[in-house]
Amino acid sequence: MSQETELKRKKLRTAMFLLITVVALYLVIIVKQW
Amino acid sequence: MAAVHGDAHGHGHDDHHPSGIMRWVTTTNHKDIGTMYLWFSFAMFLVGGTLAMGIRAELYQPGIQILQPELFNQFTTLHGLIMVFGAIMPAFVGFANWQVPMMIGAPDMAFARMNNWSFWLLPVAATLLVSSFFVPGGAAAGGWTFYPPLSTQGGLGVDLMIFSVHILGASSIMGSINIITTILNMRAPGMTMMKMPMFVWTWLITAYLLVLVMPVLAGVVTMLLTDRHFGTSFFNAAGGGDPVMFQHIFWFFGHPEVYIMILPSFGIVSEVIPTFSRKPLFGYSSMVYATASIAILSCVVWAHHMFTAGMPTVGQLFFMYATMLIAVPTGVKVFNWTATMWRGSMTFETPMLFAIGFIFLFVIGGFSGVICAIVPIDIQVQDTYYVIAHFHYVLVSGSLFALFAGAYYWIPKWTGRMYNETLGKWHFWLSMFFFNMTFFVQHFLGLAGMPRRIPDYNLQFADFNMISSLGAFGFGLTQLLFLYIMINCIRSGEKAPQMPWDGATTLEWTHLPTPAPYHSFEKPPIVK
Repeated sequence: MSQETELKRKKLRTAMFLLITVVALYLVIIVKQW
Repeated sequence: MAAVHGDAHGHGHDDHHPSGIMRWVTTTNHKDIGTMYLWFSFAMFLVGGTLAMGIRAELYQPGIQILQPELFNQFTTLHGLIMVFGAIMPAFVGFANWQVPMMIGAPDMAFARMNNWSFWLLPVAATLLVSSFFVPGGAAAGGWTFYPPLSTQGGLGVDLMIFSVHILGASSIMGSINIITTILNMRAPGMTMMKMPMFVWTWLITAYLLVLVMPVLAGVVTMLLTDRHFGTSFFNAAGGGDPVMFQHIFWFFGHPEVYIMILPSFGIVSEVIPTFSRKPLFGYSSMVYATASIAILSCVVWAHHMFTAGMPTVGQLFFMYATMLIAVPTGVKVFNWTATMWRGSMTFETPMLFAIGFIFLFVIGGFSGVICAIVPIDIQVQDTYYVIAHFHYVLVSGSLFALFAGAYYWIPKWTGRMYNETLGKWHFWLSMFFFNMTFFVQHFLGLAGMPRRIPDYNLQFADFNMISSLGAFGFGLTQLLFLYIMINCIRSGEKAPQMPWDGATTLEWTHLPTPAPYHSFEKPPIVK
Protein backbone atom coordinates (compact mmCIF):
# COMPACT_ATOMS: atom_id res chain seq x y z
CA MET A 1 0.00 0.00 0.00
CA SER A 2 1.40 3.42 -0.92
CA GLN A 3 2.17 5.94 1.79
CA GLU A 4 -0.54 8.23 0.44
CA THR A 5 -3.23 5.53 0.60
CA GLU A 6 -2.12 4.60 4.09
CA LEU A 7 -2.40 8.24 5.20
CA LYS A 8 -5.86 8.54 3.64
CA ARG A 9 -6.98 5.43 5.47
CA LYS A 10 -5.61 6.70 8.79
CA LYS A 11 -7.29 10.07 8.37
CA LEU A 12 -10.61 8.47 7.52
CA ARG A 13 -10.38 6.12 10.50
CA THR A 14 -9.75 9.01 12.91
CA ALA A 15 -12.54 11.10 11.42
CA MET A 16 -15.06 8.26 11.43
CA PHE A 17 -14.29 7.49 15.08
CA LEU A 18 -14.85 11.14 16.00
CA LEU A 19 -18.01 11.42 13.90
CA ILE A 20 -19.51 8.31 15.50
CA THR A 21 -18.68 9.77 18.94
CA VAL A 22 -20.48 12.99 18.02
CA VAL A 23 -23.59 11.26 16.70
CA ALA A 24 -23.71 8.87 19.67
CA LEU A 25 -23.46 11.72 22.19
CA TYR A 26 -26.16 13.69 20.38
CA LEU A 27 -28.54 10.74 20.42
CA VAL A 28 -27.74 9.75 24.01
CA ILE A 29 -28.52 13.26 25.26
CA ILE A 30 -31.94 13.27 23.61
CA VAL A 31 -32.89 9.63 24.26
CA LYS A 32 -31.85 9.94 27.92
CA GLN A 33 -34.36 12.78 28.38
CA TRP A 34 -37.12 11.10 26.39
CA MET B 1 18.54 30.78 12.63
CA ALA B 2 17.90 27.32 11.30
CA ALA B 3 17.97 26.84 7.57
CA VAL B 4 14.93 28.00 5.66
CA HIS B 5 14.42 25.41 3.00
CA GLY B 6 12.13 22.93 1.45
CA ASP B 7 9.65 25.21 -0.24
CA ALA B 8 11.53 26.93 -2.95
CA HIS B 9 10.23 24.28 -5.33
CA GLY B 10 6.70 25.07 -4.23
CA HIS B 11 6.75 28.63 -5.56
CA GLY B 12 6.31 27.46 -9.12
CA HIS B 13 2.64 26.75 -8.71
CA ASP B 14 1.88 29.26 -5.98
CA ASP B 15 -0.12 31.36 -8.41
CA HIS B 16 -2.19 28.48 -9.73
CA HIS B 17 -5.35 29.29 -7.84
CA PRO B 18 -8.53 31.11 -8.87
CA SER B 19 -8.47 34.86 -8.47
CA GLY B 20 -11.14 37.31 -7.39
CA ILE B 21 -14.14 36.25 -5.34
CA MET B 22 -13.99 32.62 -6.53
CA ARG B 23 -10.61 32.22 -4.88
CA TRP B 24 -12.33 32.71 -1.54
CA VAL B 25 -15.52 30.81 -2.29
CA THR B 26 -13.83 27.68 -3.59
CA THR B 27 -10.56 27.72 -1.72
CA THR B 28 -9.35 24.63 0.08
CA ASN B 29 -6.09 26.25 1.16
CA HIS B 30 -5.69 26.40 4.94
CA LYS B 31 -4.14 29.86 4.77
CA ASP B 32 -7.01 31.33 2.73
CA ILE B 33 -9.56 29.69 5.01
CA GLY B 34 -7.69 30.92 8.09
CA THR B 35 -7.74 34.43 6.68
CA MET B 36 -11.50 34.22 6.05
CA TYR B 37 -12.11 32.95 9.58
CA LEU B 38 -10.11 35.85 11.01
CA TRP B 39 -11.87 38.55 8.96
CA PHE B 40 -15.26 37.00 9.66
CA SER B 41 -14.61 36.87 13.39
CA PHE B 42 -13.42 40.49 13.38
CA ALA B 43 -16.58 41.55 11.55
CA MET B 44 -18.64 39.68 14.15
CA PHE B 45 -16.57 41.29 16.88
CA LEU B 46 -17.58 44.68 15.50
CA VAL B 47 -21.27 43.66 15.36
CA GLY B 48 -21.18 42.25 18.92
CA GLY B 49 -19.21 45.32 19.99
CA THR B 50 -21.83 47.63 18.50
CA LEU B 51 -24.47 45.84 20.57
CA ALA B 52 -22.23 46.29 23.64
CA MET B 53 -22.03 50.03 22.90
CA GLY B 54 -25.83 50.12 22.78
CA ILE B 55 -26.04 48.33 26.13
CA ARG B 56 -23.50 50.66 27.75
CA ALA B 57 -25.16 53.74 26.21
CA GLU B 58 -28.44 52.72 27.82
CA LEU B 59 -26.71 52.10 31.14
CA TYR B 60 -24.81 55.40 31.02
CA GLN B 61 -27.34 56.87 33.40
CA PRO B 62 -30.40 55.59 35.29
CA GLY B 63 -33.77 55.52 33.54
CA ILE B 64 -34.74 54.34 30.09
CA GLN B 65 -33.03 56.52 27.45
CA ILE B 66 -32.27 54.70 24.23
CA LEU B 67 -33.38 51.06 24.37
CA GLN B 68 -36.75 49.84 25.53
CA PRO B 69 -36.39 46.92 27.99
CA GLU B 70 -37.37 44.28 25.39
CA LEU B 71 -34.82 45.56 22.90
CA PHE B 72 -32.22 45.88 25.65
CA ASN B 73 -32.67 42.18 26.44
CA GLN B 74 -32.33 41.33 22.75
CA PHE B 75 -29.08 43.32 22.68
CA THR B 76 -27.61 41.49 25.70
CA THR B 77 -28.66 38.11 24.31
CA LEU B 78 -27.23 38.62 20.85
CA HIS B 79 -24.13 40.36 22.19
CA GLY B 80 -23.32 37.17 24.11
CA LEU B 81 -24.19 34.76 21.32
CA ILE B 82 -22.33 36.72 18.65
CA MET B 83 -19.21 37.23 20.75
CA VAL B 84 -19.03 33.58 21.87
CA PHE B 85 -20.04 31.75 18.70
CA GLY B 86 -19.33 34.35 16.03
CA ALA B 87 -16.24 36.18 17.23
CA ILE B 88 -14.02 34.34 19.71
CA MET B 89 -14.48 30.73 18.60
CA PRO B 90 -14.05 31.39 14.85
CA ALA B 91 -11.05 33.61 15.58
CA PHE B 92 -9.27 30.72 17.27
CA VAL B 93 -10.25 28.38 14.42
CA GLY B 94 -8.70 30.97 12.10
CA PHE B 95 -5.46 30.81 14.06
CA ALA B 96 -5.63 27.00 14.03
CA ASN B 97 -6.11 26.99 10.25
CA TRP B 98 -3.15 29.24 9.66
CA GLN B 99 -0.81 27.87 12.27
CA VAL B 100 -1.45 24.19 12.99
CA PRO B 101 -0.33 22.84 9.58
CA MET B 102 2.69 25.15 9.51
CA MET B 103 3.68 24.34 13.09
CA ILE B 104 3.55 20.56 12.60
CA GLY B 105 5.06 20.56 9.12
CA ALA B 106 1.89 19.49 7.28
CA PRO B 107 0.97 20.73 3.78
CA ASP B 108 -2.64 21.55 4.67
CA MET B 109 -5.51 20.44 6.90
CA ALA B 110 -6.55 16.78 6.70
CA PHE B 111 -9.89 17.45 4.99
CA ALA B 112 -9.43 20.54 2.88
CA ARG B 113 -12.90 20.59 1.28
CA MET B 114 -14.63 20.06 4.60
CA ASN B 115 -12.53 22.94 5.89
CA ASN B 116 -14.04 25.19 3.24
CA TRP B 117 -17.53 24.03 4.18
CA SER B 118 -16.89 24.56 7.90
CA PHE B 119 -16.13 28.18 7.18
CA TRP B 120 -18.91 28.93 4.73
CA LEU B 121 -21.54 27.71 7.19
CA LEU B 122 -20.58 30.60 9.45
CA PRO B 123 -21.81 33.56 7.38
CA VAL B 124 -25.12 31.73 6.87
CA ALA B 125 -25.53 31.19 10.63
CA ALA B 126 -24.47 34.76 11.41
CA THR B 127 -26.96 36.14 8.90
CA LEU B 128 -29.77 34.13 10.50
CA LEU B 129 -28.76 35.34 13.95
CA VAL B 130 -28.43 39.02 13.09
CA SER B 131 -31.53 39.05 10.86
CA SER B 132 -33.60 37.84 13.82
CA PHE B 133 -33.67 41.49 14.98
CA PHE B 134 -35.93 42.25 12.04
CA VAL B 135 -38.55 39.50 12.37
CA PRO B 136 -41.87 40.04 14.20
CA GLY B 137 -41.21 39.94 17.94
CA GLY B 138 -37.53 40.68 17.44
CA ALA B 139 -34.51 38.61 18.35
CA ALA B 140 -34.21 36.12 21.19
CA ALA B 141 -34.25 38.00 24.48
CA GLY B 142 -33.76 35.35 27.16
CA GLY B 143 -30.00 35.67 27.49
CA TRP B 144 -27.24 33.81 25.62
CA THR B 145 -28.01 30.77 27.79
CA PHE B 146 -31.58 30.68 26.39
CA TYR B 147 -33.12 29.08 29.49
CA PRO B 148 -36.71 27.88 29.26
CA PRO B 149 -39.41 28.98 29.83
CA LEU B 150 -38.33 32.25 28.14
CA SER B 151 -36.87 30.36 25.18
CA THR B 152 -39.89 28.10 24.78
CA GLN B 153 -42.19 31.12 24.78
CA GLY B 154 -40.28 33.51 22.50
CA GLY B 155 -41.17 34.29 18.88
CA LEU B 156 -39.61 33.57 15.51
CA GLY B 157 -36.36 35.15 16.69
CA VAL B 158 -35.80 32.18 19.00
CA ASP B 159 -36.28 29.74 16.11
CA LEU B 160 -33.74 31.62 14.05
CA MET B 161 -31.36 31.52 17.00
CA ILE B 162 -31.87 27.75 17.42
CA PHE B 163 -31.24 27.16 13.71
CA SER B 164 -28.19 29.40 13.83
CA VAL B 165 -26.75 27.60 16.89
CA HIS B 166 -27.25 24.25 15.14
CA ILE B 167 -25.32 25.45 12.10
CA LEU B 168 -22.57 27.03 14.19
CA GLY B 169 -22.29 23.79 16.15
CA ALA B 170 -22.01 21.73 12.94
CA SER B 171 -19.27 24.07 11.74
CA SER B 172 -17.39 23.72 15.05
CA ILE B 173 -17.68 19.92 15.00
CA MET B 174 -16.35 19.70 11.45
CA GLY B 175 -13.54 22.10 12.33
CA SER B 176 -12.55 20.12 15.41
CA ILE B 177 -12.63 16.75 13.60
CA ASN B 178 -10.38 18.31 10.97
CA ILE B 179 -7.94 19.68 13.52
CA ILE B 180 -7.70 16.42 15.50
CA THR B 181 -7.23 14.35 12.34
CA THR B 182 -4.57 16.75 11.08
CA ILE B 183 -2.59 16.75 14.32
CA LEU B 184 -2.79 13.02 14.91
CA ASN B 185 -1.92 11.94 11.37
CA MET B 186 0.02 14.63 9.57
CA ARG B 187 2.89 15.65 11.82
CA ALA B 188 6.31 15.88 10.19
CA PRO B 189 8.64 12.92 10.72
CA GLY B 190 10.33 13.25 14.08
CA MET B 191 7.67 15.49 15.58
CA THR B 192 6.47 13.33 18.45
CA MET B 193 3.50 14.45 20.50
CA MET B 194 5.76 15.82 23.21
CA LYS B 195 7.68 17.89 20.67
CA MET B 196 4.57 19.67 19.39
CA PRO B 197 4.38 23.42 20.01
CA MET B 198 2.10 24.34 22.93
CA PHE B 199 -0.33 26.10 20.61
CA VAL B 200 -0.86 22.80 18.78
CA TRP B 201 -1.28 20.92 22.04
CA THR B 202 -3.84 23.37 23.38
CA TRP B 203 -5.78 23.17 20.12
CA LEU B 204 -5.71 19.36 20.13
CA ILE B 205 -7.21 19.31 23.62
CA THR B 206 -9.68 22.06 22.73
CA ALA B 207 -10.82 20.11 19.67
CA TYR B 208 -11.47 17.03 21.82
CA LEU B 209 -13.52 19.21 24.18
CA LEU B 210 -15.51 20.48 21.21
CA VAL B 211 -16.21 16.93 20.02
CA LEU B 212 -17.41 16.09 23.52
CA VAL B 213 -19.66 19.08 24.21
CA MET B 214 -20.97 20.43 20.89
CA PRO B 215 -23.27 17.39 20.41
CA VAL B 216 -24.65 18.15 23.89
CA LEU B 217 -25.46 21.70 22.80
CA ALA B 218 -26.97 20.37 19.57
CA GLY B 219 -29.06 17.92 21.60
CA VAL B 220 -30.37 20.55 23.97
CA VAL B 221 -31.34 23.00 21.21
CA THR B 222 -33.02 20.16 19.30
CA MET B 223 -35.10 19.39 22.40
CA LEU B 224 -35.91 23.09 22.73
CA LEU B 225 -37.07 23.10 19.13
CA THR B 226 -39.31 20.05 19.58
CA ASP B 227 -40.73 21.58 22.76
CA ARG B 228 -41.59 24.71 20.81
CA HIS B 229 -43.06 23.12 17.70
CA PHE B 230 -43.57 19.36 17.98
CA GLY B 231 -45.50 18.90 21.19
CA THR B 232 -42.77 17.45 23.41
CA SER B 233 -42.28 18.53 27.02
CA PHE B 234 -38.60 18.02 27.72
CA PHE B 235 -38.38 21.31 29.58
CA ASN B 236 -42.02 22.22 30.07
CA ALA B 237 -43.07 21.63 33.70
CA ALA B 238 -46.77 21.70 32.74
CA GLY B 239 -46.18 18.67 30.50
CA GLY B 240 -44.07 16.80 33.05
CA GLY B 241 -40.73 18.18 31.85
CA ASP B 242 -38.00 19.83 33.88
CA PRO B 243 -36.70 23.33 33.04
CA VAL B 244 -33.82 22.88 35.51
CA MET B 245 -32.69 19.88 33.47
CA PHE B 246 -32.14 22.31 30.58
CA GLN B 247 -29.75 24.25 32.77
CA HIS B 248 -27.81 21.10 33.66
CA ILE B 249 -27.47 20.02 30.04
CA PHE B 250 -26.72 23.53 28.81
CA TRP B 251 -23.95 24.05 31.35
CA PHE B 252 -22.49 20.62 30.69
CA PHE B 253 -21.76 22.23 27.33
CA GLY B 254 -21.39 25.78 28.62
CA HIS B 255 -18.61 25.40 31.11
CA PRO B 256 -16.24 23.43 28.87
CA GLU B 257 -17.13 26.07 26.28
CA VAL B 258 -15.40 28.64 28.50
CA TYR B 259 -12.24 26.51 28.31
CA ILE B 260 -12.69 26.06 24.58
CA MET B 261 -12.36 29.83 24.42
CA ILE B 262 -9.39 30.06 26.79
CA LEU B 263 -7.17 27.00 26.13
CA PRO B 264 -6.06 28.21 22.66
CA SER B 265 -5.28 31.56 24.35
CA PHE B 266 -2.97 29.67 26.67
CA GLY B 267 -1.38 28.19 23.56
CA ILE B 268 -0.77 31.57 21.94
CA VAL B 269 0.65 33.05 25.15
CA SER B 270 2.87 29.96 25.53
CA GLU B 271 4.36 30.73 22.10
CA VAL B 272 4.73 34.48 22.57
CA ILE B 273 6.32 34.54 26.03
CA PRO B 274 9.26 32.20 25.28
CA THR B 275 9.94 34.07 22.01
CA PHE B 276 10.20 37.48 23.64
CA SER B 277 12.00 36.08 26.72
CA ARG B 278 14.45 34.26 24.44
CA LYS B 279 14.17 31.14 26.57
CA PRO B 280 12.42 27.81 26.05
CA LEU B 281 9.04 27.46 27.70
CA PHE B 282 9.53 26.53 31.35
CA GLY B 283 7.97 23.16 32.27
CA TYR B 284 6.73 22.13 28.83
CA SER B 285 5.41 18.73 29.90
CA SER B 286 3.70 20.17 32.99
CA MET B 287 2.02 22.70 30.67
CA VAL B 288 0.67 19.83 28.56
CA TYR B 289 -0.60 17.92 31.58
CA ALA B 290 -2.05 21.09 33.12
CA THR B 291 -3.96 21.80 29.90
CA ALA B 292 -5.34 18.26 29.84
CA SER B 293 -6.25 18.48 33.55
CA ILE B 294 -8.10 21.76 33.00
CA ALA B 295 -10.03 20.17 30.12
CA ILE B 296 -11.02 17.11 32.17
CA LEU B 297 -11.98 19.15 35.24
CA SER B 298 -14.00 21.55 33.09
CA CYS B 299 -16.44 18.68 32.43
CA VAL B 300 -17.26 18.10 36.10
CA VAL B 301 -17.94 21.65 37.34
CA TRP B 302 -20.98 22.69 35.33
CA ALA B 303 -23.44 23.09 38.20
CA HIS B 304 -21.46 25.94 39.80
CA HIS B 305 -23.51 28.07 37.41
CA MET B 306 -26.65 26.82 39.16
CA PHE B 307 -26.04 27.15 42.90
CA THR B 308 -29.22 29.21 43.25
CA ALA B 309 -31.30 26.83 41.11
CA GLY B 310 -31.54 24.38 43.99
CA MET B 311 -29.41 21.30 44.62
CA PRO B 312 -28.46 19.11 47.58
CA THR B 313 -25.71 20.40 49.86
CA VAL B 314 -23.44 17.54 48.86
CA GLY B 315 -23.87 18.61 45.22
CA GLN B 316 -22.99 22.19 46.10
CA LEU B 317 -19.89 21.00 47.94
CA PHE B 318 -18.78 18.75 45.08
CA PHE B 319 -19.13 21.44 42.44
CA MET B 320 -17.55 24.07 44.69
CA TYR B 321 -14.43 22.00 45.42
CA ALA B 322 -14.14 20.67 41.85
CA THR B 323 -14.24 24.26 40.58
CA MET B 324 -11.62 25.41 43.05
CA LEU B 325 -9.43 22.49 41.98
CA ILE B 326 -9.13 24.01 38.48
CA ALA B 327 -7.08 26.80 40.06
CA VAL B 328 -4.25 24.27 40.58
CA PRO B 329 -3.41 23.44 36.91
CA THR B 330 -4.17 27.05 36.00
CA GLY B 331 -1.72 28.15 38.67
CA VAL B 332 0.86 25.77 37.19
CA LYS B 333 0.49 27.56 33.89
CA VAL B 334 0.81 31.05 35.35
CA PHE B 335 3.86 29.91 37.33
CA ASN B 336 5.45 28.44 34.20
CA TRP B 337 4.89 31.61 32.16
CA THR B 338 6.42 33.66 34.95
CA ALA B 339 9.33 31.24 35.27
CA THR B 340 9.87 31.43 31.50
CA MET B 341 10.27 35.19 31.77
CA TRP B 342 12.51 34.92 34.84
CA ARG B 343 16.03 36.02 33.90
CA GLY B 344 15.03 35.94 30.25
CA SER B 345 16.41 38.44 27.79
CA MET B 346 13.04 40.12 27.56
CA THR B 347 11.84 42.72 25.08
CA PHE B 348 8.42 44.26 25.05
CA GLU B 349 7.07 44.38 21.53
CA THR B 350 3.28 44.52 21.13
CA PRO B 351 2.68 40.72 21.17
CA MET B 352 4.62 40.44 24.43
CA LEU B 353 2.74 43.39 25.95
CA PHE B 354 -0.58 41.73 25.17
CA ALA B 355 0.71 38.39 26.53
CA ILE B 356 1.82 39.99 29.81
CA GLY B 357 -1.41 41.98 29.98
CA PHE B 358 -3.21 38.68 29.47
CA ILE B 359 -1.43 37.12 32.47
CA PHE B 360 -2.17 40.05 34.81
CA LEU B 361 -5.82 40.40 33.89
CA PHE B 362 -6.61 36.73 33.38
CA VAL B 363 -5.33 36.09 36.90
CA ILE B 364 -7.77 38.70 38.21
CA GLY B 365 -10.56 36.93 36.29
CA GLY B 366 -9.36 33.60 37.66
CA PHE B 367 -9.38 34.86 41.23
CA SER B 368 -12.88 36.27 40.92
CA GLY B 369 -13.81 32.87 39.46
CA VAL B 370 -12.60 31.12 42.59
CA ILE B 371 -14.55 33.67 44.63
CA CYS B 372 -17.69 32.91 42.60
CA ALA B 373 -17.09 29.18 43.13
CA ILE B 374 -17.65 29.57 46.88
CA VAL B 375 -21.30 28.69 47.36
CA PRO B 376 -22.34 31.29 49.97
CA ILE B 377 -20.63 34.08 48.03
CA ASP B 378 -22.01 32.88 44.72
CA ILE B 379 -25.54 32.94 46.11
CA GLN B 380 -24.97 36.64 46.93
CA VAL B 381 -23.41 37.64 43.62
CA GLN B 382 -25.46 35.39 41.31
CA ASP B 383 -26.86 37.39 38.37
CA THR B 384 -25.10 40.57 39.46
CA TYR B 385 -22.49 42.67 37.70
CA TYR B 386 -19.79 40.86 39.71
CA VAL B 387 -20.31 37.87 37.43
CA ILE B 388 -20.26 40.13 34.35
CA ALA B 389 -16.95 41.59 35.52
CA HIS B 390 -15.56 38.10 36.22
CA PHE B 391 -16.25 36.59 32.85
CA HIS B 392 -15.22 39.67 30.90
CA TYR B 393 -11.86 39.53 32.67
CA VAL B 394 -11.60 35.95 31.41
CA LEU B 395 -12.96 36.41 27.90
CA VAL B 396 -11.89 39.94 26.95
CA SER B 397 -8.58 40.39 28.72
CA GLY B 398 -8.08 36.62 28.47
CA SER B 399 -9.22 35.35 25.10
CA LEU B 400 -9.29 38.65 23.20
CA PHE B 401 -5.92 39.92 24.45
CA ALA B 402 -4.36 36.56 23.51
CA LEU B 403 -5.92 36.87 20.05
CA PHE B 404 -4.36 40.32 19.70
CA ALA B 405 -1.01 38.93 20.89
CA GLY B 406 -1.27 36.16 18.28
CA ALA B 407 -2.31 38.53 15.49
CA TYR B 408 0.66 40.87 16.10
CA TYR B 409 3.01 37.91 16.53
CA TRP B 410 2.14 36.06 13.33
CA ILE B 411 1.08 38.88 10.98
CA PRO B 412 4.67 39.25 9.65
CA LYS B 413 4.64 35.54 8.74
CA TRP B 414 1.20 35.78 7.17
CA THR B 415 1.69 38.94 5.13
CA GLY B 416 5.45 39.45 4.90
CA ARG B 417 4.94 42.92 6.33
CA MET B 418 5.49 44.51 9.73
CA TYR B 419 2.81 46.34 11.64
CA ASN B 420 3.47 49.79 13.10
CA GLU B 421 5.04 49.06 16.48
CA THR B 422 4.25 52.48 17.96
CA LEU B 423 0.59 52.20 17.06
CA GLY B 424 0.55 48.60 18.33
CA LYS B 425 1.79 49.77 21.71
CA TRP B 426 -0.83 52.51 21.74
CA HIS B 427 -3.42 49.86 20.98
CA PHE B 428 -2.23 47.79 23.94
CA TRP B 429 -2.07 50.60 26.51
CA LEU B 430 -5.40 52.13 25.48
CA SER B 431 -7.01 48.67 25.58
CA MET B 432 -5.56 48.04 29.05
CA PHE B 433 -6.75 51.39 30.36
CA PHE B 434 -10.24 51.33 28.90
CA PHE B 435 -10.78 47.63 29.61
CA ASN B 436 -10.13 48.11 33.32
CA MET B 437 -12.14 51.32 33.35
CA THR B 438 -15.08 49.38 31.91
CA PHE B 439 -14.99 46.20 33.91
CA PHE B 440 -13.11 46.74 37.18
CA VAL B 441 -15.83 49.02 38.53
CA GLN B 442 -18.42 46.37 37.69
CA HIS B 443 -17.04 44.29 40.59
CA PHE B 444 -18.16 47.07 42.93
CA LEU B 445 -21.55 47.35 41.21
CA GLY B 446 -22.07 43.61 41.58
CA LEU B 447 -21.03 43.53 45.22
CA ALA B 448 -23.46 46.39 45.87
CA GLY B 449 -26.20 44.28 44.29
CA MET B 450 -26.75 45.69 40.80
CA PRO B 451 -28.51 42.95 38.79
CA ARG B 452 -27.45 42.03 35.24
CA ARG B 453 -29.74 42.13 32.18
CA ILE B 454 -31.77 45.10 33.54
CA PRO B 455 -31.82 48.35 31.51
CA ASP B 456 -32.54 50.61 34.50
CA TYR B 457 -31.00 50.82 37.95
CA ASN B 458 -31.08 52.53 41.30
CA LEU B 459 -29.45 55.97 41.63
CA GLN B 460 -26.78 54.56 43.96
CA PHE B 461 -25.18 52.77 40.97
CA ALA B 462 -25.04 55.85 38.73
CA ASP B 463 -21.38 56.92 39.11
CA PHE B 464 -19.77 53.54 38.51
CA ASN B 465 -22.07 52.92 35.55
CA MET B 466 -21.06 56.22 33.98
CA ILE B 467 -17.37 55.31 34.40
CA SER B 468 -18.00 51.85 32.98
CA SER B 469 -19.85 53.20 29.95
CA LEU B 470 -17.16 55.80 29.18
CA GLY B 471 -14.56 53.02 29.43
CA ALA B 472 -16.59 50.85 27.06
CA PHE B 473 -16.85 53.63 24.45
CA GLY B 474 -13.08 54.14 24.70
CA PHE B 475 -12.43 50.39 24.42
CA GLY B 476 -14.69 50.14 21.38
CA LEU B 477 -12.98 53.05 19.60
CA THR B 478 -9.56 51.61 20.45
CA GLN B 479 -10.40 48.47 18.51
CA LEU B 480 -10.89 50.58 15.38
CA LEU B 481 -7.22 51.47 15.86
CA PHE B 482 -6.45 47.73 15.70
CA LEU B 483 -8.36 47.52 12.41
CA TYR B 484 -6.37 50.48 11.07
CA ILE B 485 -3.05 48.92 12.19
CA MET B 486 -3.85 45.62 10.48
CA ILE B 487 -5.06 47.20 7.21
CA ASN B 488 -2.07 49.53 7.20
CA CYS B 489 0.25 46.57 7.77
CA ILE B 490 -1.29 44.51 4.97
CA ARG B 491 -1.37 47.36 2.45
CA SER B 492 1.75 49.33 3.15
CA GLY B 493 3.66 47.86 6.08
CA GLU B 494 7.44 47.67 5.93
CA LYS B 495 8.81 44.44 4.51
CA ALA B 496 9.23 41.93 7.32
CA PRO B 497 12.65 40.31 7.75
CA GLN B 498 12.84 36.52 7.55
CA MET B 499 12.96 36.28 11.34
CA PRO B 500 11.30 39.37 12.84
CA TRP B 501 11.40 37.74 16.28
CA ASP B 502 14.83 36.32 16.99
CA GLY B 503 13.58 34.09 19.81
CA ALA B 504 11.05 32.18 17.69
CA THR B 505 11.78 28.47 17.35
CA THR B 506 8.71 26.85 15.79
CA LEU B 507 8.71 25.40 12.25
CA GLU B 508 6.83 28.24 10.55
CA TRP B 509 9.64 30.62 11.51
CA THR B 510 12.63 28.31 11.13
CA HIS B 511 11.65 26.28 8.05
CA LEU B 512 9.48 28.58 5.92
CA PRO B 513 10.20 31.86 4.15
CA THR B 514 8.46 35.07 5.23
CA PRO B 515 5.76 35.53 4.07
CA ALA B 516 4.73 31.89 4.14
CA PRO B 517 4.23 30.60 0.57
CA TYR B 518 0.73 29.69 -0.59
CA HIS B 519 1.68 26.01 -0.48
CA SER B 520 3.99 25.05 2.32
CA PHE B 521 5.63 21.81 3.44
CA GLU B 522 4.68 19.79 0.39
CA LYS B 523 7.77 17.83 1.39
CA PRO B 524 7.63 17.44 5.16
CA PRO B 525 10.57 18.79 7.13
CA ILE B 526 12.57 16.47 9.35
CA VAL B 527 12.24 17.44 12.99
CA LYS B 528 15.17 16.52 15.22
